[in-house]
Amino acid sequence: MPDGAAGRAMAMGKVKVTVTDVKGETHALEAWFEKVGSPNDIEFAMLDMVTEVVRDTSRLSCQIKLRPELDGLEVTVAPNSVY
Amino acid sequence: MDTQSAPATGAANAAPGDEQVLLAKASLADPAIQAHPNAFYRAMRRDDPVHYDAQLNSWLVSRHEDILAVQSDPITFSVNKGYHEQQARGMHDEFRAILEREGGGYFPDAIMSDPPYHTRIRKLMENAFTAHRVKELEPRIREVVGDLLDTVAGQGRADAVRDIAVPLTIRVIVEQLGLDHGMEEKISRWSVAVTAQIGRMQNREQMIENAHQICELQHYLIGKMKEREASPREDMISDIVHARVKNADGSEETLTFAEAVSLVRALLIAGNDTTATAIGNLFYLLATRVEVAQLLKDSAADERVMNRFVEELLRVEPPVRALSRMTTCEVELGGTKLPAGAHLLLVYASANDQDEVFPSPRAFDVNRPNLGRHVSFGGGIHRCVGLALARMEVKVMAQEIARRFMDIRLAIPEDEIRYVPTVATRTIASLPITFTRRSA
Repeated sequence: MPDGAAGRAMAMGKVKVTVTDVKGETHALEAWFEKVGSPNDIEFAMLDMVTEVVRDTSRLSCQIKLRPELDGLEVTVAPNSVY
Repeated sequence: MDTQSAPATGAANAAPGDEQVLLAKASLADPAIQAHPNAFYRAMRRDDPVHYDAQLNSWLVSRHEDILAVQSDPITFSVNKGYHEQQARGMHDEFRAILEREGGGYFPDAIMSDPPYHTRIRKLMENAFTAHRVKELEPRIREVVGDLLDTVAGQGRADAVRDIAVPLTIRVIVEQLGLDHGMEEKISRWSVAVTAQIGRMQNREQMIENAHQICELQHYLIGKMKEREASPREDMISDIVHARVKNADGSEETLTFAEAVSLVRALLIAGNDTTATAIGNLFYLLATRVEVAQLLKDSAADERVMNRFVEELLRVEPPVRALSRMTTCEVELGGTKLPAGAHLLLVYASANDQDEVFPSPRAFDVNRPNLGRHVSFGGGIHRCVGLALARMEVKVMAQEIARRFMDIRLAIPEDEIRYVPTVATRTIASLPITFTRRSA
């Protein structure tokens, strides 16, 4: 599950960039990503600074609020050592 | 600002073969090395990545990976001890006594602290840096920036640092904090006095003069804070004075008045000096590198490219050169064994120039896939709290410069550019330029 603990806006500065990437087969992935939601402008700008680890379904984990409908979500966390 | 400007001399521009010699003899305390440090940094990274600088009595951490390691362990590598050891180093008791006697108190920098204390302060300070605050400030900042640039743009020549970068940044910080306009000259002086405390270049006489400046600054800020305590406004002083966060158990955290004074002082200085340095560096690049000028001209309206432009500007010319840590126990770092109590300088500017991390590090390339790996904002729990605001400010300034200025050229030979003597930042002291006004 994604680490949602740092969930304050502007949290990129807080610990390190944790980019999570929704995982699964293409159709499942799209469905999950729709539930998780797209990044807003500010988050996109942050993700855009780390294009080497970002994919189309990447989000900053601190910006994903855990809700009942996300139960079962699997994510891939970007390598810790990079940032 | 540049009363002690350093000339650039040949010693710092050593050829690769001379780098070993350079390392043995040179010091970051040397203003010539401070002005043109890249050969010195390269020599450290290659031959002695955690290098003891005897003149500074500090270990210089030069490699990207070692800086990340330090940043990820804030208990072993203490900011509290490192910063306060560096402050007025060698004269600290006298510095403190002057502030206690004449400055309303000695207020240790609450944010320059270690967990768990730091965690509480950081949460409270973040109140002033929400996305909401940054967004709300942008239109007003754009207006202030445009007004000042309009007064200069028709003149054809200016000092990009003294006439543009410094007054521009001060006006913006005055707006953000809610201070009084017309204080520009004083704020500039106060700013220099505070940053000199970690620059390691002041003698006793200068320390005493700077301490008196800081006393004056503190009295001014305390007055403003008391006003906001009674009647809050939409500004960052009010944010700090009235900062509250709720704990899990429902209890509330607030800042003590002494903590708040130190934070307002830190906001004023950190948001002022570093941003002015970034704008000075921007003008330097625009005047000396056609590809950077062309890119800005072509892309000023493209938000995505501009975000990347600002990031690459901060990587190539980081305003903050190096900040302090102190070891709290014996530890090995980058193959070097450090004793407890060792004072370290994390040389961000060196890590940003490391070619294994950023290939062709001197190239200005907004398409780098790892643009965000630069360490100009530090990292870990101490990563610059104002980074969103800083990025926005520099972006707005770059865009407004692009709208008004073209054909920016140096009005002096490049080797006559002087830098402020300090280990903490790399700041152009004065940058005479010529330009033409871009027709609307």
